Amino acid sequence: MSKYIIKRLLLFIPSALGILLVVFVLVRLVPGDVVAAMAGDASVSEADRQIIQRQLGLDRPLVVQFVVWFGNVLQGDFGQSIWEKRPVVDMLKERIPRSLELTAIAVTLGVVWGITLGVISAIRRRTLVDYVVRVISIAGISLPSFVTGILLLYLMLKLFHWSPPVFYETIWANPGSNLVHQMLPAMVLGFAAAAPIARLTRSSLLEVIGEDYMRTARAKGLSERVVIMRHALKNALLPVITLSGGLVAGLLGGVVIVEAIFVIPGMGTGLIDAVTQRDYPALQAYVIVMSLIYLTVNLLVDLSYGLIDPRIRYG
Amino acid sequence: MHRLAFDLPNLDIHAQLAAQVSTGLGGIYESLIAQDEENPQVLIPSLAESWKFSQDGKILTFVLRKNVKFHDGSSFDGADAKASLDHALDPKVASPRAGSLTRPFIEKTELVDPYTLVVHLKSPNVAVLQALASRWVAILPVELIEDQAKREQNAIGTGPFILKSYQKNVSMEWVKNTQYWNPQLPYLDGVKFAVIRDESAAQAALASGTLMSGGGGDPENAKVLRAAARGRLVQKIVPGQYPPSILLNPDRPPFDNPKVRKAIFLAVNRQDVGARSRGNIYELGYLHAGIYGEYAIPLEELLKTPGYRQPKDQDILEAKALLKEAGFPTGFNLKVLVRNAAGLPEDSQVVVPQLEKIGVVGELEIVEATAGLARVQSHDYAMAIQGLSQLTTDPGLSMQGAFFTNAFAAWKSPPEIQSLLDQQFAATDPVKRRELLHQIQRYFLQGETGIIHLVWGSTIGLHWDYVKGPIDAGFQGNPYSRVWLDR
Repeated sequence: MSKYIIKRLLLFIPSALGILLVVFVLVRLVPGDVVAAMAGDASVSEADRQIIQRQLGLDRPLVVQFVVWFGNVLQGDFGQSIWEKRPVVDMLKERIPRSLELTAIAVTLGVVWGITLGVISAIRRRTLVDYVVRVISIAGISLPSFVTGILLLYLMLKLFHWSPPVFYETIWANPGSNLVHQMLPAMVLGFAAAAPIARLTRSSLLEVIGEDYMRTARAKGLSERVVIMRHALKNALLPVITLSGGLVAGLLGGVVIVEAIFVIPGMGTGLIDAVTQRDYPALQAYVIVMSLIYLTVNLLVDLSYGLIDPRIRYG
Repeated sequence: MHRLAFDLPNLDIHAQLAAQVSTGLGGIYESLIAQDEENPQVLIPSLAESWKFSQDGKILTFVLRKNVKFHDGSSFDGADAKASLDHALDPKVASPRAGSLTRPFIEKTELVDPYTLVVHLKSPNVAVLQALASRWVAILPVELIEDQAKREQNAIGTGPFILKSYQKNVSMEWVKNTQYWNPQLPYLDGVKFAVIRDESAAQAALASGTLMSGGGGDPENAKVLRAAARGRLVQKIVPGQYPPSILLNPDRPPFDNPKVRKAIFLAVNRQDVGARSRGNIYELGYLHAGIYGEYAIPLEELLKTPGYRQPKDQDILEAKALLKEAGFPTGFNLKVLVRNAAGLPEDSQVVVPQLEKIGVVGELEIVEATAGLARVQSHDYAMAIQGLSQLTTDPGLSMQGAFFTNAFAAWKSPPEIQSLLDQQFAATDPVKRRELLHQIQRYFLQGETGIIHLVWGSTIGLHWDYVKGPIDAGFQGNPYSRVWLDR
């Protein structure tokens, strides 16, 4: 197991290097630069443009820019934001916890809702309850998060004449305000995550319920609750865990839009800003951090298989 | 509580271009003179108590206000004013807004005594006062002018509000400046801004009462928001600042032929664009009559001008004849570059099909906003649809910025039109200036420049009924000094 972990960790290095290079090149292939982004619809004279580009260090050859940036990244320094004129690391320190908190709440809600609905749907197979759960699941898969988000926003306004807070406060500064702020977007993301989990839990559980050992468990006189929760669900969860890992990555994509709708200054809104503002150092840092989170989650999911199913061995 | 649609890059007002900067710092910094909040055409004293032109119109002398304190407690005097203006004028600083407003007109500054500042102009110029009244030409303490890093992280002005807190990407809070030189102002104890990028989120926050004012979008959308706020949102039409325009590149065929450019000018149905793309709240013309008054060509004259006439039959006939003369009897196909920003795709979806009436078939090429800017800026288009910023309340400065020094349009002003622009800047007689500005507009109305103004699309501003005073941000940002709450 430890050999496998070391091997996977070593594989991180070429992946991370590849990401660094691809990100650096790709963001510069996009037309437009930070001076154009700063100007918006106002125009800037060519002379002023050149001066501003020189001040920002954008007039240097691309190779020089890459070498300097790469050297700094290896030392944990993502450089200075062109737009905000402050270290990108400071921006990451502010934004990452906000997005991770949102993702954690969303994943928790998604897994709890998804498994609960999946189990209910499976044990009430072909009843009205099952059909309702399946319709909800299909809606969760079909509706993009930004549609669900705006609908929820409108619903809150219409029913309660209320909209979510617009001033973000950290959980340490004001836990109540923070949770109120995070709850709606987490529900939106959680809903999107719960839908596939519910469907997979249902089908997986239905498959397991038909196994011989389930009949044996029932024949032993165990209650239906114990049969389902202790014997069936444990075996049915393996594909659900695989799916949940992938969903975390999906949620990281979802936060990009949902954070904007619910005014959460996390990595998602930071990424949008960095793209529109052509803030190359910030954009590179956000993509790298998100990629590393994705790689880490995948590794953890792989490792969790062995804990859930002891039959699985790592080569 | 109000909205910032996006965060300020940093707090250095002289280094900025983004309109949000003048909103976020509107109550913090002041200029030598100011625009009246109710009527921006009227200039009022600010850090200068009075000013006068020399006999030849080339020297402008300001008598500065005494006993004014910066927010850090230091005293304001002429050294701060001179340092600030010199900084904006310095070509090495490349101040994109403060500098571009003042550099064309000001030769140098001179401090006669601590409270008398003399500004030497390159030539007599009536627009320089409006340029100096711009919030972008802010007066900062010498200490900030000399320290770029400090300037980017701190906002220390003389304005009616002090920057109390600023959390990047989250919020900004102003608090009343109790030492303000005008003891009557401001009325509010403070102002809060929330950084809200998403339009839906901002509108929900406005309708629920979290925000006191904001944009209402188009008339239909504003109606929904007013209903959600139980009818308590007051509606006001806010003139647009970026009138969408068609830009034709005279360096690329077929637009190297002035007849083709004029044919497009004639074929465009501006009123249709206003009705279908801009919610039927719009103004016509190269200058906005609601903002620039008599300096704009009267609407009656515009409606008789080819290109603006209704119905369009005669314009279409003439346009077809011009295309035939230019060697395109059946028209031609082309790509139309459109930035995905500020209603431009919607405008293009109305205007491009209009051109099919003269056989010009356009294929829309809608590109991401910043990428599109880069292409427009480098004239990488045959036809583009682009907003032409007019962020000043002086008609001459507005025309100069939008059409003469604008880097988006490939048109080069001929010497006789450039001369008219220079003459109107020097015209101290408003009647003469009006006539000169009308001549320039009539030149554009001939339709051969390749800059085809569509409409001034207005937007709907909404604010809660208990908010009184000049609440709209307007062109220059709002100092909120005369806003008060009736509750």
